[in-house]
Amino acid sequence: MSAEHKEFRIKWGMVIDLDKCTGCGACMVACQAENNLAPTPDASNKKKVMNWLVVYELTNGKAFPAHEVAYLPRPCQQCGTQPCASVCPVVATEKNEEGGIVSQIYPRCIGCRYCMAACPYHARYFNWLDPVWPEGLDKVISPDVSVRPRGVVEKCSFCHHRFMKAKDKARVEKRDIFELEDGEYVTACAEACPNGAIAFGDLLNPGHKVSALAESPHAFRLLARLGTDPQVYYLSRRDWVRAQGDNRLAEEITRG
Amino acid sequence: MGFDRRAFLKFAGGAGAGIAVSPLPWKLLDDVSIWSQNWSWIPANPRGETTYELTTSKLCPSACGLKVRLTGGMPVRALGNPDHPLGGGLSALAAAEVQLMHSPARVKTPLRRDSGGNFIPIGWEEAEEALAGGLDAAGADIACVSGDETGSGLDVLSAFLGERGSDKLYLMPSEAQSAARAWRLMGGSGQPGYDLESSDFILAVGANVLESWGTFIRNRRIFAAARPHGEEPERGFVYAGPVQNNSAAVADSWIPLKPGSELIFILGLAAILTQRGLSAAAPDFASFREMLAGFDPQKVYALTGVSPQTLQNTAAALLRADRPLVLAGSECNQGGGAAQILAALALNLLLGGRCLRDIPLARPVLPAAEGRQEVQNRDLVAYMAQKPNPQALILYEANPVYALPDPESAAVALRNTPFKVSFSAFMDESSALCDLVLPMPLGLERLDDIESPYGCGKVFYALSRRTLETADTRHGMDILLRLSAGRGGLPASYREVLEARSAALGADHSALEAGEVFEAKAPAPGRLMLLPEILNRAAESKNSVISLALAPVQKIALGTAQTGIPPFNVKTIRGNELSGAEMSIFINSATAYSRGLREGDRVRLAGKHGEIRARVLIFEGIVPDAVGVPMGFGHTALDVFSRNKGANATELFTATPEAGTGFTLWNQIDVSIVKI
Repeated sequence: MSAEHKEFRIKWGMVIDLDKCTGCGACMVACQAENNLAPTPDASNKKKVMNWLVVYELTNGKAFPAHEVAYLPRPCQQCGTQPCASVCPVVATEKNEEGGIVSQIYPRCIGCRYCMAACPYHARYFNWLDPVWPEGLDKVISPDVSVRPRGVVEKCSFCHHRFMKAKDKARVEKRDIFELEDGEYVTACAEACPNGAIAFGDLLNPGHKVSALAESPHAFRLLARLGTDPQVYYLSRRDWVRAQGDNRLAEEITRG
Repeated sequence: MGFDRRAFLKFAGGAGAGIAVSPLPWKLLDDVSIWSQNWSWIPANPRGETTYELTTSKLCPSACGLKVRLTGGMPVRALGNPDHPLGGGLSALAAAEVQLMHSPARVKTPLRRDSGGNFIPIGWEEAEEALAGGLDAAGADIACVSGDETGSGLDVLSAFLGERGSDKLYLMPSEAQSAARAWRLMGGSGQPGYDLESSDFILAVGANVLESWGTFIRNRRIFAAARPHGEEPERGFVYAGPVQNNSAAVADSWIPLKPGSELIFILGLAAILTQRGLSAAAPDFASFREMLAGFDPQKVYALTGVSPQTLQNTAAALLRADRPLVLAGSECNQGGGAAQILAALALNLLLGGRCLRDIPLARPVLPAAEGRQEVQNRDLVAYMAQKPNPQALILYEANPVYALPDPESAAVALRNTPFKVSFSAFMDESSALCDLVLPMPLGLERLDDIESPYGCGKVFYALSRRTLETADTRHGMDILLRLSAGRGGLPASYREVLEARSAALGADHSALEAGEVFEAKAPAPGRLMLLPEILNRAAESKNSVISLALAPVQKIALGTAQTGIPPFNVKTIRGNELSGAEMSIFINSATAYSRGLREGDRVRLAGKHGEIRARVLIFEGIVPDAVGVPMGFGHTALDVFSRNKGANATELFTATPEAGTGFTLWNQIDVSIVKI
């Protein structure tokens, strides 16, 4: 089955400025708290750790003193052409709603993990074990996102519940739910970042700043040549950072 | 006609077809998928009305603004408050503040050590009686260590000790203390303030301004505003320090400095600027300029590793800026000494000092309390070095057994103290050695105050608010005030102290309790001294040859000495920083090659007093002949999220008196590395 390309009237997107990200991890903590990811006493086995958003360390690979470092937060890329959705045998992950957020429907998920194998961004995680909340910590579960049991795959939802709330608010105020103001719906990570490194909005709405940022000459997308058409863009004025957006071979001849 | 086989088959077929076209199979399938994931051990979402409360974080050293989300009256999320003068987002610690209220490391009830050495839970009446008995038996021989340097609790502690005839109130060492000391040596009246908002070029020397230095969430908001996405920055930002840390990662450039050579680098810049005709209206400017003649670029290169060209370029960048600001500090916010801050303040004066402010210290609101100046001038590390054995020791939100240099000596001192009590929210290393542990409410559970944290540019005052009633904690200040029973003019409750503080500042206390913040402009500093003799003596002591220098690195995601690693922050630790219980120290490839080490090697790193074990990580973002050691690991108490993870970097710290200022410092530490 080939992946289908989906386009919508609105397209929620994220533009992450890597020249502003210090790698502090506040976005990761905010994401866990907002989306009810259980804490883990030992998180050093990264293959077993559940994370919707991971901050990776990038280096230019040069020795001191020419060394440079950058940090890259990686949420689900919300691809326009989803490698994950096309392989799901139970239609547990779809891209069918205005906004273009790739859904993950936990009750449908049978835990086959085909989607994890298909995702080129390693943005999907499997619940190997039931989440364990230390006594008392289960009291601070946020009310908007259900806690997932073992046996299902999870991923970043662009804090979809916040989109629903913003739409509800617009409905009550008798406004067009597809014409939300810039900043009316933002993800928990974008809201938490003290450096303002994460911009969020409708990529197709000229009134939202992300629409212009995505067109910046410094903008790039991860593994863009795979044709996944992600809705997450990155910005950097540093050539070496942009070059790492695609894992080209050192001697590879590139087109364009 | 009977019900024969044919009729049965017809009926079964009809029933099957009917069920197939009905919604029943789909409903059952739906129910199965839902109920097979809906187990009793999977926590359910809370229900209730969503409300928000504004407050200021007492837990996060940045004192950032918080908007706490409550569901049915229960705090569930800490959000940033962009309208707060020190807010604009969240630190990784503040983001976990609500979850920390329910951390397994919390002390849930008063604990008393029994004759067998075990803690037993006791009631509050018994706890307060034990406290009174222990302190009364000690007479005037009581010392106190406070980990809170911005609250009015210091007034209460000072008055409480004073009323019993003791003046041994100490603060846990911090950058704020060093800076205030440097400032007053120069003739400033309070503490230095930094108007970052109006600065157009920031040179941070050692100060990790975007991670842990000063009011770092405010710093980051200012940084964000000056850096439009994908465009040329509106303000310059250069970081100089031994490690390419979080601040260096986004700076316009990183100037690698040998650990502990920040002072020399700053004096080298000052020397170039005075040669280019810059001066300061200080009475001792002539001797300052004369002293700087000894810091030519070649000498600076030898001591710092910064090339003459880089030094010249940095000086030129400072000259080009309208309102440059130089911020000095130590990477781990402690132990950097006062001289480098003094030198940075002098350099700012050379550059016009337009972004410097003189922020008044909090004035005591209790008649028996001493001034903040007296408290800040006391040096806890020097006091501990004298091996004091007071009859009683009060730890107020302080964890010296984990955080002081040479923590084993601090542990010995604690063991030798006949009666020690810890007011702490968490069962940390120090509390675990005490005779009595009294659970403190956290910032979101108590009314407390924060006044002008170090790094801010204005007079600042805010209250932390109680967003959750916690059953079995009591504010330590209320306990001590109750114990004093009005003696020495002490009020009956801590709220009265806070009301007096608000009144003294001219702030509306009820508005503060509702989450508002009081701010007032701070004056520019008066005429300050540059103190060349002190700087020269401190600089001369930097000539010592170090074979392998320690470069500690602090990340606020790993919490503070008090909190340990918050449960939600464990996942922020990268795979190459910690593997199981083993942490990594980092060196660059040249250092590794010269010592015959490779990535992944197990090593023993030894200082004068202690040693740690770790694995080698090759990281090119550190100067040669230096070893980077992350702070925040190596807890032996607290909970499973903090314990048994790496080693405590403070084991390697060796404090020495700083030539010139007399303050202790631990930023030039020679360590040895051996493959095991």
